Amino acid sequence: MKEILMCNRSKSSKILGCSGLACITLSLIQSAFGQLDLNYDGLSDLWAEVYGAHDLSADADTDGDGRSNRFESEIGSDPFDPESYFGLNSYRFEEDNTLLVLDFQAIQGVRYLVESATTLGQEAVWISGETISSNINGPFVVKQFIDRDSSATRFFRVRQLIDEDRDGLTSWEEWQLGLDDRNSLSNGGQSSDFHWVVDHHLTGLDLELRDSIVTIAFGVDLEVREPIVFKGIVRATEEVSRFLNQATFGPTFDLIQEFDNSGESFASWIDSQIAMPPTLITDSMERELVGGAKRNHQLFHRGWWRATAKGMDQLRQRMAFALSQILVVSGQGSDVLRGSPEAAGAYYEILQNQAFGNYADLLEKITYNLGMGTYLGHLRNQNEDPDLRIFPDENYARELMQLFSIGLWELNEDGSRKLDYTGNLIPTYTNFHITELAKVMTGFNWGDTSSFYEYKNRPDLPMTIWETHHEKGEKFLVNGGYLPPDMNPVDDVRIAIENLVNHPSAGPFIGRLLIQRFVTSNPTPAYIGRVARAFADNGEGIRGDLGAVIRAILLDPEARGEAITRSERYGKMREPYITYAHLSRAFSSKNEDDVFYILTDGHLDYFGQRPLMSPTVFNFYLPDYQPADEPIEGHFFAPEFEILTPLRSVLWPNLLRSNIELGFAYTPNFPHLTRAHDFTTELALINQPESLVDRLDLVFTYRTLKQETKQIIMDMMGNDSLSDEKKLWTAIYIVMTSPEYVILR
Amino acid sequence: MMMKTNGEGRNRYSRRDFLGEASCATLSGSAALGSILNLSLLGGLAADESPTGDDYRALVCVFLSGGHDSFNMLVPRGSGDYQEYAEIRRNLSLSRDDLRPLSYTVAGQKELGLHPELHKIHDAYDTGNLAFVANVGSLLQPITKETYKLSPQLLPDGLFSHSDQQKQWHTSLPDRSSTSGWLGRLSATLQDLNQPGSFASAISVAGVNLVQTSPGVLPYVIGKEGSKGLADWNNPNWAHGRAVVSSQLDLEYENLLQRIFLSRKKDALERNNIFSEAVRSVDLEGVQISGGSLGDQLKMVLKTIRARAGLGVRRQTFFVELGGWDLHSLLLEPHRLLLKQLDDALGDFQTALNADGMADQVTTFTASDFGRSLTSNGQGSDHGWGGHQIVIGGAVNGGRIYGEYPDLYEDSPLDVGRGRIIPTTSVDEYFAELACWFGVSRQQLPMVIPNLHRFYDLTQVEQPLGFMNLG
Repeated sequence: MKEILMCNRSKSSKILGCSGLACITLSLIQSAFGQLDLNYDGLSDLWAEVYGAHDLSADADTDGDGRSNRFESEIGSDPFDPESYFGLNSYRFEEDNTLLVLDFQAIQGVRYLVESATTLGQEAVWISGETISSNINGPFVVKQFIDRDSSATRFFRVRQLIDEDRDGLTSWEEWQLGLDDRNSLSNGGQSSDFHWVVDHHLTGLDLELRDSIVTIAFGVDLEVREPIVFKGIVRATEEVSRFLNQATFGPTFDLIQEFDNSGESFASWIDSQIAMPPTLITDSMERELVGGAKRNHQLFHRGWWRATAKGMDQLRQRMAFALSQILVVSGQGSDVLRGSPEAAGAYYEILQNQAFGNYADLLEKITYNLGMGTYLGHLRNQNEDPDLRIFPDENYARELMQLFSIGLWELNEDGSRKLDYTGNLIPTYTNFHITELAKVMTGFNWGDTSSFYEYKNRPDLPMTIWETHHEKGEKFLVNGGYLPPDMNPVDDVRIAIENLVNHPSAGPFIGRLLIQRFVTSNPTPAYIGRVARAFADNGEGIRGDLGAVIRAILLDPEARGEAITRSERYGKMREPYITYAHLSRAFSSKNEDDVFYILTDGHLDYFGQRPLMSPTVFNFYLPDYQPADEPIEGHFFAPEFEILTPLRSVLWPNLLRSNIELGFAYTPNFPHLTRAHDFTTELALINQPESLVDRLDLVFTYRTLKQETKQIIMDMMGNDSLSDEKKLWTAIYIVMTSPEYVILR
Repeated sequence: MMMKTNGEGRNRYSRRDFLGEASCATLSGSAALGSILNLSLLGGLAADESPTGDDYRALVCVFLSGGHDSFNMLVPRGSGDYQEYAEIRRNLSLSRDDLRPLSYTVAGQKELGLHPELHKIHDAYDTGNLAFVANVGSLLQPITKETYKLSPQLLPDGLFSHSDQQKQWHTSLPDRSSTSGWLGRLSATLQDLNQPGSFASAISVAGVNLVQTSPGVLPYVIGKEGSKGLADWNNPNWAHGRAVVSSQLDLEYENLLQRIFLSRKKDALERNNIFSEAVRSVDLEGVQISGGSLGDQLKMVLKTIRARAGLGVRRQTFFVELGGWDLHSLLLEPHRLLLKQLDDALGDFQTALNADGMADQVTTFTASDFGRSLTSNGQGSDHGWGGHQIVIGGAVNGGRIYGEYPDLYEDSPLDVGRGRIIPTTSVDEYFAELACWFGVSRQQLPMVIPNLHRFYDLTQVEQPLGFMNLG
C-alpha cells in the first residue's frame, strides 16, 4: 500500500509510476481549443505578450522540456522555464487510504478538474470531482476522497480545462484578461476573430495516452490479492516508441521524433496505415526479375525483406507476417512453395492485401491459393468415390477449422472455454464435420487448366474449382450449418467459410492469436473479449473486419495502459526475426541497389523463424507453449520461448553481433552485398555516453533500460583502449540482447 | 487388464491421484514433484527397488512427426489377411511379393511382412535386437467401438489432430493439458543417479520438446554439430564484450519473461562450456551413420553417449526427429524414401553402438502422432489412430511382435471409420515397459505414467508388455 514511486520530472509532463488498487491519470484535456491568435503564428498573442515570447516558433521547444511552444501556449506555461508545465509531482494517501493527495505542477489561474473512473478506454465513465483554480505557478496540492468500497480498481485523472466555456479563449487567457472561463459571454467580444475547434474531445484511451496522460498506479490490487510493485517512468515520447515497437518492425529515432512532434494520435496513425497502399512483395520480386534475377526461392525472401524492412505501411507488413503465422503454409511440406517464388509470393501478397480486410474474404482467397492447395492437400482433391474407396482429403478441412478459424473448443467471448452441463469442454466440431467440410473442399485444380486432370504451371493464379469433381451431395457444417445438394461449388465454399467466420468462437480464437503476436502472450479474458467484440462488429455492423481488430488490439487499455504492463506476467518475447528486421531499420542499412541480398537458409537454425518456412502447420511455436523453466502458478504461456533453445540463445546474439559490426545481411562469401549501417549520429555521441545510451534506450527499449544496464554500457564506453566503433557496436549489442529489449511489454 | 484393488493398493491410489491431479494437471511446480519424489511419501516402498551400481542407460526417442502410415511398414502377409489389407488400402497397398517376410514365433499371431526398404531393420529383427509393438496409440482407457460412438468423454482430447496427438505421445496424459512429458518425469524420478543439477540427463538434437520436459528438467538442445557458445567468448579482442555480457547476466528482473529469457541464456553459456569440454576429445572417425538428417542427429547422440563420463550422467534420454510423414496427397513413394532414411539411420546407429559395446545400455524406440487411415483419399492417407512402433537395442527381447496386430477389414470392431483403428495397446503400457528397463521401480511407475493403472495391474509380476529384458 505504501509503495509509491516518486517520478522523475526532469523533462516534461508525462510521468508514470506505480502499483495496484488504483491508477491515476493526470491529463490535459483540450475540450475545445482556440486561442487569441490574430497573427496566425500558432501561438497565443496574449501568451507571447505575457512571457515576452514574440519571436518564438510554434514548433520549437525553447526551454527544452520536451514540449513544443505551441503546446505551452495552449496550456499557458512559460516557454523559457522547463519547470513550468502541467504534470504530476507526487501523490500519497491519507486518512486510512480514503483521501488521495495529489501534488502536481500547476499554472497560475488555470482551472483543473479531478475525475475518477473504474476502467480505462472507450468504456470509461469519468466521474467529475471538484474543479479548482491554481493560485500559484508550481507545485499545487489537491485532495480527493476515494470511495474504496465500490470497486477494486480505480483510475484517476486530473484535467486541465483549456476552454471550458468553449468561447475561443483559453482558461489561462481568460484569467490573464480577468474574464471567466466558465462563461462564454465573457470573451471580450473577440469571438468572431478566431475560429475554434468544437468538441476536440477525448475519444477513448488513445488520445489520453498520446497527449496528456500521467498515470500512477499504486496500492494493492484486490483482485490479485497481492501487492504488485510497478516501477518505471514513461512519458509520451517513450510511449510513442513503445507503440511503434509493438506495431512495426521496429522504429528508428527519426520515426519516433516525427511521430511525437506531429501530435498524431495512435488511432489516427492506425487509420492512415490502413489507408496506405500496400507495399507488395510481388512488386519488388517483379522488379528484380526485370533486372535479370533468377527465379529461385531466395527471390521470395529478398522480396519479403524489401517489403518488410522498407515498406512505409509497417502495420500492414506486421499484420501480414502475423497472419502468415496463423494461416500457415510452408516450403517445408510443399515443393511448389519451396521451389517457386511466384507461389510463395502469391500467397504472401494475399496476406498483405487482405491484412485489414474481411476475415471471410481472406479465408476464401487462401482457400483458392495454389500454395495452400499443395500444402494442405486440397489441390486436386476430388469427390467421394466409395467404389474406389476414395474419400476427400481431410487435411485442409481440419486445419481450416482447428487452426484458421474456430479452434478445437467452443469459446466464450472472452476466450475461456465453454463447458457443458456436466462440466466438460465442448468440441467445436467432430470428425463427422471434418469429413463433411472435406467434401466442400473438392474440385480444385491449377488456375490455368481446362479440366480437372491437367497439370499446369502458373502457381501465381488462384485455383479453379471444377464442378465435375466437386462433391454434389448435401453437407452438414458446424454450428448447424447446412449446404443443400447440387450447390454451385463457389457458393458452397463461400458459405462454408462464412459459417466458420460467423461461429461465436472465431473472434476470441483469432483475436487471442493476434494479441499474442502484437502485445502480450497472456491477455486477460477482458482484453480478448474486447477484441472479440471488435471482430464481431466493427462499429458498422460488419463482422470479421481485421482493421477494426488490430485497432482494438493496439488501442486497448491492456496494450496502452500502464498498470497492467508492469505486472510480472505481462508482455511477450519479441519474435527473433522481428528483432533482426529492427536492426536493419534502426540504422537505415543501405547498399547500392537497396536490395536485401540476404541468405536466409540458416535462419531457422539461428532464429527458429523464416517466412513461409514453418516446420509444421502449427507455426514456429504453439500459442499454448508453457515454459517449465521455473515453477509457475497456473497457466502461463510464452509461445516464442518454444524456439528459444540453448543453442539459439547464443546463435541469435551471435548473428545480431556480426550484423551490427560487419553490416546488415553480412555473409562471409558475399561481403560486397552487405548493407552498411549509418552510424553517423551515434558516433557523434560517442563521447557523451549518457546521451548515446539514452538514444538507444529510446529507440529499442522506450526508456525502460535498467539503470544497471545503462551503467554497464557506460562503464564499457569509458574504456579508452576501445575504438569508437567497438564502443558503439557493443552498446547496441548489449541493448538488443537485453531482457529489457527482447521482452516487449 | 484393469487393475484389481487390494488392501495394499489403497495408499498408492491416493498417491497416484496426488501426482495425476496436482502435479501433472495444474503443474504446481517442481516443489510438488520434488516432494512426491521424496521417498518418505512413498512409505518406504521404493527404496529396496531403486537401481544401484554405476551402470549407464540411455533411451533414444525417434519421433516420426506428421503421423506415420505404419500399416504400410508392417503388413499382413497371410493370404486372407493380405486380401483384407489390399481390399481396404486399394491403391495405397504394397505388393505382397515385395514384402520382407518376418519369422514369427508366437502361436496365433498373424503372418507379417516388412516394407521392402527395411533391410537393416529386418536384419536387426532377425538377430533378436529389434521388436515391433503393434497398434499402439493414445487412450484414456481401453475402449470398444461402442464406447467410441457413445461416450466421447472417454476419448483422448483432440483425436486425429496432429498437435494434440503429438502432445499426448509426449505426455502420456491424453485428457489434460500438461507441461510435463513422460521422459521428463522419468529423468526427474531418477535424477539421483546423475550428478546433482546435471543438465545432460535430457539431450535433444531436435529442438525443445515436451516429452523430455518436466518441472526441474528441461532438455539441453543441441544441433547436429553439437553445442555452441557466444562468439569470441575466449578471444582477448572481445574481452570488453565478455565483461559486459557477464555483468548483464547477473542482473535481476521481476518480469517473469525477462527472468526466463536471461536464465536460458545463462544456462546456455554454462552448459555449452561443460558440453563442449566433454565432447571435445570424442573422435567419430570411421563411424558411418547414413540416413540423412536423422542419421546426423543419431551421430551426435552417439558422440554424446561416448562423452557420458565427462557429463556426469548414468541415465540419459535423447530426442531426435524425422518429419515429413503427413502424406495426405501422395503416400507410396515419399513413404518409401522416408523408410529408407529410417532404416539406414536406425540400422547404422545400432551397428555403431554394437561396435562400442554399448548395445545393451542404449534402447532406441519410435513414436509418432498417430497411425493413418487405411482408406485412400486419392493418392494419400488421412489422420488415423493406432499404429506400429519399433524398439531396437541389445536389451530388447527382439525378433517378435508385441501387442495385437488388428484385422484390417472395413468396419471391423476396431475400425471407427475409414480404417482408423482403435489402439489395442496404450502408449502408457509401451512407455512403462521402457521406463522399467530404464530403472524406475514398480512404485515409481505411476509417477512417470500416471494413467498406467487403467491398462495394467501394477501388482502383477509380469512386465507391461515384456519386450525389454530387465536383466
